[in-house]
Amino acid sequence: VFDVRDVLERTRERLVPPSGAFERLVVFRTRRRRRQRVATGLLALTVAIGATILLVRAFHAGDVPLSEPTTSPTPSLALDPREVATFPVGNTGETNAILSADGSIWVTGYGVNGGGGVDRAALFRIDPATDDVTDVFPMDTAPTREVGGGGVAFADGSIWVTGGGKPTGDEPQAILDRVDPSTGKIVATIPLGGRFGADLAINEQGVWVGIFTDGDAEIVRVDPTTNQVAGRTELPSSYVSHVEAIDGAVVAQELEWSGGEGPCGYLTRVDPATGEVAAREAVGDPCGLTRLLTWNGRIWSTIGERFAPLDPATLKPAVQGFAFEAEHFPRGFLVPDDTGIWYAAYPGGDGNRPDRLTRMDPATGEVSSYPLTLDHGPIAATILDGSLFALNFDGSVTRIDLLADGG
Amino acid sequence: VADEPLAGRAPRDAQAVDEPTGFEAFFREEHARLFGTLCLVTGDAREAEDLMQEAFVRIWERWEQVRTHPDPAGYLYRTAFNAHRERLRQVRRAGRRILRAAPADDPFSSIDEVADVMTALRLLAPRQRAAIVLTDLLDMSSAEAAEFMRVKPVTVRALASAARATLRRTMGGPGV
Repeated sequence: VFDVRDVLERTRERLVPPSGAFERLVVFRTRRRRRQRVATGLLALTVAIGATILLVRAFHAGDVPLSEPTTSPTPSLALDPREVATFPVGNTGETNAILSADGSIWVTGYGVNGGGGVDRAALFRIDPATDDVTDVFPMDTAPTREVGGGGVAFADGSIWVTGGGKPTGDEPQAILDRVDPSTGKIVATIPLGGRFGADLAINEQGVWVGIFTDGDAEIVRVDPTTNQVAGRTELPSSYVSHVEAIDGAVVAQELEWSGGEGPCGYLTRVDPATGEVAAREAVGDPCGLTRLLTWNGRIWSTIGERFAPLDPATLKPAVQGFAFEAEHFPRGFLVPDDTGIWYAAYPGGDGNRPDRLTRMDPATGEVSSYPLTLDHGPIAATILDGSLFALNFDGSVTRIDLLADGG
Repeated sequence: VADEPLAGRAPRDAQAVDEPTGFEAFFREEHARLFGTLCLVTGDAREAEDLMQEAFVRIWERWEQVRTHPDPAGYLYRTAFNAHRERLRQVRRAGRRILRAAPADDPFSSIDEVADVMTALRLLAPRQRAAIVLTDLLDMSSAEAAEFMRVKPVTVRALASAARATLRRTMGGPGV
């Protein structure tokens, strides 16, 4: 007898939600809350626009300096961003980071035919001269972020990739793959413990990897001369999302959930000399998140709708910093080059329209918005030789040439 | 801030449902079953995930109340079906077709048996799919299902019966 219940049950069991469902839920909720906040803010602005103008003026006249003396990055370059091409690389929702290294563009992904471990992770090499995918190298792991890139870096002549993996004969754990970009071969697979590698950054003191497992998070230092773990720093929370490193400071963003609220970001500084947690500061009051970026030897942070360098001692903005264009803060990607910091700007409103390509001069705070929409859902980007390569959620890469002809 | 959480985070212990951070454990406990159920109801994985997100976000916003509810999972399903009903209403208002062919990149298409069932389900009207899932899969009485669907119990019985007949016919099982 045809058993409807049995058929439905068996079918349901085989309908598995895509991985990262909870993380997408967090993003969904964050965006919804932001839209609600923006709507509320607009209403308040309409009612009290006069008072707001006075407040803004008073705010800008405050004692905190707007910026530090900094030279604008190559302001003489003539910029005229224009989309040149969008070409397929990986699968929809299954590519996650992009970087430039050794003269090529590299994209990490999973679910790739011919890929390696942990659900067929792979590293795509793209020739920036032709925009062709020239090689697909199997990997042991791929980064786990879904927006913003991360989990990859280029240093010491190697590409470093962290994520979750399963070294031969070992339990699943966070791993760090070291790849020779000249051959695309993995030259070292470094087990890190924990369960997932979240992000990594590199400075003179080593490769710093944020890892977490169920209930614990750590910063692990790897010595690139030995490819061995050289130190571990236990973090106060159970979840680390970002790591940035400069000389003398490693800064991580941890995430916490409490009382049904979250994720709430905490910035934590690790002293590279001692491996100890040296400072910790909540992002926002009571709860906020930040984007971190290393530029010009300093770690910059987006807090609220401003962008400022962090004081490593206090993990608070060292200066007042600069406001993003109202309602057009960064989402998707935030990458620096010689001309400034490029980002995909939130379109405002309900957020359903495409982001706009925007640039901030971190020396002056000047924001330049370009008439170029990012139509394919950019999630990460890198810049090479005057071209911005945006990795899109649909697995494609969009190449945008930034410089005017002859620039 | 469009922050970038991580895919594949390790699940927390189910006991954590009683902890302040228990929402995540609740999500991890329930989301796969809810996703599968919504796939059957909607016939569309993306729609199912959208509805799942909508339901879980609504639950999250009032987690302090839901966590002490005698049946949080039941509350979740009710919320999801409410969201589904609202969406159907919006679709009707927009004058769009509700019944669709399988999407071009249908994630089910690579699994033969699942694809067969999904194809058969897509031939049903949305209310027939909801009725058969509620009664035959979630084991609800017609009265309970009627409350979910905001129709009369007799309507649920009629919808489910028609749905069963169509499934038997299209899937070619014995006893047709």
